[in-house]
Amino acid sequence: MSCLYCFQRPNLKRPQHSIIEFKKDKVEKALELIQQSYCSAYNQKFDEIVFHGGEATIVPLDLLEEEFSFFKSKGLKIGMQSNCFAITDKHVELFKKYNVTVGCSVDGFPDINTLRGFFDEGKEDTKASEFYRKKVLENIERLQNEKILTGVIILLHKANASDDAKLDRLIEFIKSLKSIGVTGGRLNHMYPTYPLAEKYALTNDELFHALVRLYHATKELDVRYSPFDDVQRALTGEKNIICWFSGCSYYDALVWSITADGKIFRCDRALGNELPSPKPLPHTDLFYSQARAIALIQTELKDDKYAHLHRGGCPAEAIGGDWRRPSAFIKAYSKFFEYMEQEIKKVMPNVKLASDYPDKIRYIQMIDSGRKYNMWKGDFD
Amino acid sequence: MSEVNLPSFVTVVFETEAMEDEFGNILSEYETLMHKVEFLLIDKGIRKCDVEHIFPETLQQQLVLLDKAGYKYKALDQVKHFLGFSHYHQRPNGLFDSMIFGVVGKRNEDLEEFAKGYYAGDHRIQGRLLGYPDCCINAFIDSWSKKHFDPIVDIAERTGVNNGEVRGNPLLNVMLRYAGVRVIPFLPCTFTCKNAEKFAEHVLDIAKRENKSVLKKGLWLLSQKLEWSQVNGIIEVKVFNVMRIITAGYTSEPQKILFIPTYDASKLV
Repeated sequence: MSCLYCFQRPNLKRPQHSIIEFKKDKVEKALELIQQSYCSAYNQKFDEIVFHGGEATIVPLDLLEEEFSFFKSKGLKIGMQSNCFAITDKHVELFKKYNVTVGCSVDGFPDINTLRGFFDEGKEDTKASEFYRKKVLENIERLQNEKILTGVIILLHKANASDDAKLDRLIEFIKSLKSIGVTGGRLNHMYPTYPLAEKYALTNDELFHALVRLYHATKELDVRYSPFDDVQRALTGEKNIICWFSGCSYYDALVWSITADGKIFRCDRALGNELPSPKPLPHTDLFYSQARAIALIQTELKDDKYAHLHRGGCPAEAIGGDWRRPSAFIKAYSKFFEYMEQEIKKVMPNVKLASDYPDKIRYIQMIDSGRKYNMWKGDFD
Repeated sequence: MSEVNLPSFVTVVFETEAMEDEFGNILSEYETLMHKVEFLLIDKGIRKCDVEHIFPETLQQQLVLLDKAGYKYKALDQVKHFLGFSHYHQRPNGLFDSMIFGVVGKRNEDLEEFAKGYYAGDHRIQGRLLGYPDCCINAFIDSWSKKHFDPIVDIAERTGVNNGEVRGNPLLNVMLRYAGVRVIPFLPCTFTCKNAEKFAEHVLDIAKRENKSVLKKGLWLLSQKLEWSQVNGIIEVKVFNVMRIITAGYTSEPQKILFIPTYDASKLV
């Protein structure tokens, strides 16, 4: 099973693992190193790990249980991001036994979830794909009933969000999820990391239009989807927002990935572009100085009123593939920040949102040093 | 094109775990070696002075060490603290984020002359006392006057660029200096400058006697093909298949050069 737009494309150079081996001692060491770095950066311990892939449910069950048991013994909460296709009774048993929560990656009803399925070099096995698209909906309902599902990640692309008819279907899908109790998740734009996938990506205009429609739909349905909360929080001066608005430094990203054999890499988004390289530990000055965001504010985004709030977006999807440039979708997000700014000001006309703060670089430095932005006085407390 | 002001930083990312194992510790060991060699160049009469940054918290220890080694030190300025690399000195916000910048030498008159040059902003006086070749000092003055604070493209253009590529002597490769790896402590006028090569030979003579294995590894790094680029004021050096060095740049002008060393300098050791 695969996604036509997936960054884990065929021919991507990756370490070869013919046999999945869980090297407990090395993973333990990696966890310790990350915990040390995390503590020194954030003055607290991290308490959650997320299994992601590829696809974590294709790991043999005995090995999956060994891994769950190991992470549980370390006092960590366990999450998993899955395509929710190959989930069996045994998986559900394991999830319940180890309190594993699962997020499902799905792009809508079968008629708009067409970029996910069974493809071999672009050619689809239609029967298998149809089976998957039906099965995933059944599994979502099952995981929801078992109180295992935490939400869904829906990627926005040409097949589900490029025009109003598709968006109508997507909104119906979100509504149907609500009807079974799924009240939130993420709406991420799809980004291509290789030329063949470019045709599936939304344009900035399409993405902006989709964001506006989905924002109003989710508001009306009273369900919570990212990035809408994130944009509102950023505008009101909150620091804890989604990673792609938090100033990622690409080589020294906000998250760490650990392989089953204990190697530490950076964010899996960045791994789609090139051969995985070790991530520096602890965080470096590239991360702490927010060099990319501060550089962008002085250069390509100097006229962007919201540059200090979205910080140039995700570097893995940067224009021209150069992480020092803004995300190829930053125009859509800047426009959406402006839209949301107006929405907030309709109900709170007297506030001074973070977008009004005059010195963007100072804003980043202040908020990253832990200072609180007070939107009632338009300055830091 | 506009100037970009970033806090100073250097981040090194290795391409593979094997490269990190091989070179992870070498960078700092090589930097330490060259720091020592630069002082020894004064003893050998190759130069009259060297510059030194002293941290206020270790001021006394560092001054005692210099004194015991027979060097005189003259403090010149209090500058903003930086780790790794900075293109130029910035003003500190206070003692807590400052370093003392000064000059080291054997003779008071050399230190006084350097101080005069420093306060007058005279790069020629400073460069000569540091032993740099006149042609390289002139090239530096020319680039600096144009606010080209990291004039790699200028050096490449003077050398001769063909389809974005420049060929040069690995001993004059100054693109890894952000991570502490270099032979010459100055920017050459070209990547083939004979006077700079002569200076490099003096450095090698001394370094070989101090730590051959670290020197050899550093020279191997300097002999790898690399891409130096600056985008939106951030410099990235890709040493192919080995590592990437990321540091603060100075201009919004996009710049890119592919440097091809003409031989393997590690074979000199």
